[in-house]
Amino acid sequence: MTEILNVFVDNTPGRIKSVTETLARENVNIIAFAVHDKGEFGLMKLVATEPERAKLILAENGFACALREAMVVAVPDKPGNLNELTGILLEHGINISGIFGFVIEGGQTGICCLETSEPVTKALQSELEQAGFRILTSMTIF
Amino acid sequence: MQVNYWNKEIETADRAEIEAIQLEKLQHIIKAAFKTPFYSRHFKKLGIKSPRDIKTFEDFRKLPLVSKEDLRRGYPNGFLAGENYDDVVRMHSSSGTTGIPTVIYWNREDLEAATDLVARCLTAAGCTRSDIFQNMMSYGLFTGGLGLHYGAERLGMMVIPIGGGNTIRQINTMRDFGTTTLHITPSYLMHLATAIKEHGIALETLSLKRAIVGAEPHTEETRRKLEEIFNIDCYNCYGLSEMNGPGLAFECVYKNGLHIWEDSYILEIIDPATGELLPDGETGEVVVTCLNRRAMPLMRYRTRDLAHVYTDMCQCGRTHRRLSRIKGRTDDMLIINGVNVFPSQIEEVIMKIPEVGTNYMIHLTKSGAIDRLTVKVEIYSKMFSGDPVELDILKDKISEELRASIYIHPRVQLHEPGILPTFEGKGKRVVDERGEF
Repeated sequence: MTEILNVFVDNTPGRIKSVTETLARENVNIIAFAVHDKGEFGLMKLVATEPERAKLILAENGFACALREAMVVAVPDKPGNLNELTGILLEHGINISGIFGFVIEGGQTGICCLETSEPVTKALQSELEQAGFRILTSMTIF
Repeated sequence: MQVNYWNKEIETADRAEIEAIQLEKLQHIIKAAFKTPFYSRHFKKLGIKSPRDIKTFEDFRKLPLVSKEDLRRGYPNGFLAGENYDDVVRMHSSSGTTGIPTVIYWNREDLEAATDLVARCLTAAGCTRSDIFQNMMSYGLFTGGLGLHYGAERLGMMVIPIGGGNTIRQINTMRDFGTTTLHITPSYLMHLATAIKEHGIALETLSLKRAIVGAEPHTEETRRKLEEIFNIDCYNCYGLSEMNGPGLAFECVYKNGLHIWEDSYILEIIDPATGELLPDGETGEVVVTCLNRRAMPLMRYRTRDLAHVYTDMCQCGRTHRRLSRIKGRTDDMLIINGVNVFPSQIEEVIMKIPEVGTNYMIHLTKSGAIDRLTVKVEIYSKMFSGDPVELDILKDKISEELRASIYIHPRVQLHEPGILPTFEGKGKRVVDERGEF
């Protein structure tokens, strides 16, 4: 399990850059990110190698940001795998409140970042591992 | 609580004594007024031939109410008592942003009296000669800068005449000289909180005790927020250049209304529509007569500020009546779909909401025949949880609370902290894009 850093950004030119610039200055590595459009503002979701440090840096620079628990899963890039992953979560009665993912190289591994309404239990984690999904902590992503 | 007086006898005089002083000083003002083009014309019309014709408050209320337009029409010398500037030692003037500026003249005694009153104000707010006073208001034609400067010096504080702007230098000065007292606008003080943090200075390491917060009307909620951020006392003050600038009314350490110095001013609250005098406690337009200025007499001046008078006694023992915070201006009232709304009402609501930061903007647009109100607020970083649902709930909450207060359902927009414009001078938070009717 890891944490996703949620940053409140105005929906105007240059605001995303001001986040990336601040983190770049402090050598924070961003592994994945997405922005959810909320009209006049957006919620930027960042997976960083050092989430706690990234949060402190942004907070010190005046950004409104918060860490939220999330699950980052390495999914082998094969048809049906994402379906299997979401199926296992459904079986456990877990609601996915946010999800974004990507494949770096076709046929290799995809990364899926998940936020859930219910806590992810140890039992569920091991079931996912047995099904061939690797649950990553920030430090082990790459 | 420690209460210090600058002039105890006057500050605690009973009503009859105060009124006797007022009527006596009024004689001198009327005498000077005969020498001005404006009043000599009006006195003739009213059949007033000598100061002795104005002996009671009833007589006094026959004098005309004077508006800002009257002052402008009299630019530059319509209210000057005398043929030339020989007795005048100082002039000040408004910025004139909305047209012709208004000018104020002081002779040596006037300046002396004005300075003494400011020292009285600062003493009421707990300042002593041991304090270090950083004057962050602009100097020059604006009365607030020089007015407080003179008063603080008179009191014996060490005055740092740094003026406005240059935030980094302000912060370094505070740190290096152990500033205890600031004179600053509320919006600049808000801005300073962020700037000090960005500058890498912990607020606890500064020696700040209090801030004299003026030049912009602000709400009780804004004061509380500022006091909490800085862990200091913020004192509200009220003045206008036409009434000598600062020194007209000031809060004492009990911070429960602004004592208006009635030995130096006559206060009236009128119905802005009819000009009728209102009883204490009712909200109306503040009308003031300056009893300390003979180079440029000005009586029954309509300030356009709306406030009311507190009727109860203050715990500090001062007998001079207290004025409420300025609730709005007769000329900044917004009419939104036929409803009267003061920007201060909106500020009051949003500053009570903990998730909201320090800056806001009010936008008015037109959609067909309907006025649309959009209130833009900044979110408060510490209250942000990252949950998008919470943000939607927050928007609804702000909108609902505004509707309950102003009877208009506004659109609420959330913004990043520090994104909305901050105002180092007078805040211009209303953008009206409805155009002309």
